[in-house]
Amino acid sequence: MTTRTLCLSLLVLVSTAFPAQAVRLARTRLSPHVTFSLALAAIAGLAWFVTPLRPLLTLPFDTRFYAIAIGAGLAAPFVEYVIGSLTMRRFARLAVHERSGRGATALLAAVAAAAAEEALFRGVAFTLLEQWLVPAAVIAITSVVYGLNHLYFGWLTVWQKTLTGVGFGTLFVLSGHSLVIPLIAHVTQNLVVLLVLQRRAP
Amino acid sequence: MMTFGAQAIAVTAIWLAAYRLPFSSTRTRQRVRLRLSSLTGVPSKYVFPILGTLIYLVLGVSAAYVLGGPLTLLRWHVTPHGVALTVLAAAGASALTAFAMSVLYAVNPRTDVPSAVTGVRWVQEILALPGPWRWIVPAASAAVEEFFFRGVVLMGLLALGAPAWAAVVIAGVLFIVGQLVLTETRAQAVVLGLSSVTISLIGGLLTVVEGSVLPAILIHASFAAYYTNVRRPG
Repeated sequence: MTTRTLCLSLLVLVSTAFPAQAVRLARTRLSPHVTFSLALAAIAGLAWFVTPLRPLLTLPFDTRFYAIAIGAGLAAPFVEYVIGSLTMRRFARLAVHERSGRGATALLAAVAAAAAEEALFRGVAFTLLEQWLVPAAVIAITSVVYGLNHLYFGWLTVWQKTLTGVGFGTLFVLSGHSLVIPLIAHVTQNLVVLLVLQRRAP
Repeated sequence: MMTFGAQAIAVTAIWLAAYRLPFSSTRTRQRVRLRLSSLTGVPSKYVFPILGTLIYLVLGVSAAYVLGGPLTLLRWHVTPHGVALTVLAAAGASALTAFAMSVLYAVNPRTDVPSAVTGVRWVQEILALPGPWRWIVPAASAAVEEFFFRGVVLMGLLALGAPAWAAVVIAGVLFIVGQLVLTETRAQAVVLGLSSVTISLIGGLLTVVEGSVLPAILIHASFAAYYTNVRRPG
């Protein structure tokens, strides 16, 4: 590997490690979740453009992967809920913030955010890190960074998202590096949170 | 290569000492401030922002000249890939710094990043300036710093055959130590130190990839202006 390629890989990795943070600097008139999704999508687009990637949007033939992905996506909010409840030692009612949107914009934003996170944390990060590391190590690293990317929600969210990250990373590797599989799981998770869960004041 | 490294350290030390030492005592500062203000008619609150910046810039440009950094270091073969990478790196520099600050808050919720930033003397001086100068002055200082550390030192080391990691680390450490010297409290040192690490890493890697210091200058210039436009809470 040439020095330039090595430095390019490292630069993309450190620049895309905490994409959610860039949003805090953006001052726009759009609603926060739309700004968040747009910024995330822009970073993912740039990273996708500058990184030499192998084909990631292949579709696995084995249909079980699609079923597993949907199952994982349906289960993810509840797994995160159980971790949260065990940590806080009380079982509050499972609900999302009362101000979470339910309209078409909110849903599109959620889907875009999921796609951007998968493109960055599974697509770009795996492609770059697997140049040097075995898949298990890459799953571990990307999951921890994915978790830390949610630090502004607090340490509990970091644990929850690290675990979800392990799930998405494992799906990605087992499906033969198809981004579509963890994407289905991630979108399903976001849709469950937005459409199914009840709204409640914090 | 060793000689060049030693020269780079010496020149950086002279640059910072000559900038910092003559005006370290409050009494000297007050005297110089009043003297220059009455000589030039410039309001006394603008004396140090202007004088300090001028001294810093002249010393920085001289340092680059002494080490033999040519302006051709700025030559950048602009490609869509290079532009996209620069934008991504700029977003990355902001994101990494913001993340480092949120770790500070998470570890110690009483951390006060804006106060630490606005307490740094050069930031304080720049904050006294009106409107657009709050952007132009730090951007100019950042451009000179970047030209020296990532251009003259880093690319100079590369040209002498140093491995890329060593060039990035040496130029970075010199820059980071230089920034730490300009702080006064532990909080300032932590905040400025962490952002200097980020800027050194991102700027260093970007300079190696692009073969030009210009992209790193653009990022650092936009970055420095962010700090001097931080609003105090409340």
